[in-house]
Amino acid sequence: MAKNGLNLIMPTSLSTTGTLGIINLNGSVTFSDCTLIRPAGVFTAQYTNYMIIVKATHTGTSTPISMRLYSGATAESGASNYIYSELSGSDTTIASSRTTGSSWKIMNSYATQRCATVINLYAPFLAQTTAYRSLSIDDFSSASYADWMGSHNQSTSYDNFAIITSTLGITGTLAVYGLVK
Amino acid sequence: MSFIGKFRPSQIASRIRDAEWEEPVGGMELITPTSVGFVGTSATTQGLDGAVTFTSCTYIYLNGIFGSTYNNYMLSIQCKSTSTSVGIIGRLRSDGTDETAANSYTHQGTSVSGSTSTGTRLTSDYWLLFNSYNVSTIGSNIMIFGPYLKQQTAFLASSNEDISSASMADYVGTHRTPQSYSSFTLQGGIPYSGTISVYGLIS
Repeated sequence: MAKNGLNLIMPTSLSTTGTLGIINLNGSVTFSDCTLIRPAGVFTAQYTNYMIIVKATHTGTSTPISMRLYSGATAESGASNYIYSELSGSDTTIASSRTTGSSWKIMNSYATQRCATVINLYAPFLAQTTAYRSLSIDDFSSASYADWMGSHNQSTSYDNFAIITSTLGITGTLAVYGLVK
Repeated sequence: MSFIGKFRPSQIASRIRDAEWEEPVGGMELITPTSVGFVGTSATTQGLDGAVTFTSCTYIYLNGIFGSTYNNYMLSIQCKSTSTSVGIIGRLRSDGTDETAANSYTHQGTSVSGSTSTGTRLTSDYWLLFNSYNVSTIGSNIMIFGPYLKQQTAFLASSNEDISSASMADYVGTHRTPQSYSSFTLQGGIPYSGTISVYGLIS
């Protein structure tokens, strides 16, 4: 008998820094002008791997959007614990790079433009290293492409994450799905 | 020892306090098009499952797949062309008519074949979704963000374009007209065959 392969996860609570953040009836999150969006309690032993969809826009200049793992309300922000590679395409220019830092980059938001990404996150709740891939469209006007993939090198269990920006608030929606085991 | 279903009463009490007891909301649902049009040999839904099987078609019209129930969608497709390689393009569609306004679609293609990487951007009246190669089956997952909403629509397509030589190709794109679309068209320059399933992501 077939069963659902993908379940939308209801956060146990939501923390935001900004104007507004709400958990919708089914469990997706709507946020307005926020620099941090943290849906708590989304990673559990019920699922191993997750898919996260984020759509966002903002009104200022371009800003990078990143992701950081959390255990409860404590951010994992070790200065060299997140490693990611980027493959990007903008017209005929293809670029790639590797970065070590205190968060993963997941997409760029351009001035007044929407951006969207599908993030696959592997084993964040297990006490082992975590991996991710974020395939994003960064700029709705000119259709820029960016593919981010990386790992987190600490063998620690995390039960939630935050979407963060450096300065400018973003407005949009977020949904976390668990892949049924 | 008494049981309620397969649980003892004490287990029931503990499970009620456990968030896992709550029935999870399904995250992705297979959508059956209200109708399927085509130019070619055949294109039909598979019983009640909703997946569309098509044979030697140049156009496939997936009608009534976007609605207010979902914001975002995933199209999963496997196909192969019948002779030479062919680009498969996509257009938003509403009320039986493709959106063909000039320069309303932009796509960015980024591909890697061996040690060669290539980038292309095009503004036109369609999105290039992927390329189908001669005889070789290709697979692509296409995410479409907000087609039914009266706002800009975007897509992401991640593909393996040539199974023989394992080429990677990702296409992303936008449609600038803030209009609502209920349907989608896939078009090939020459006939191609395969299956396509449309899923709605609950949010």
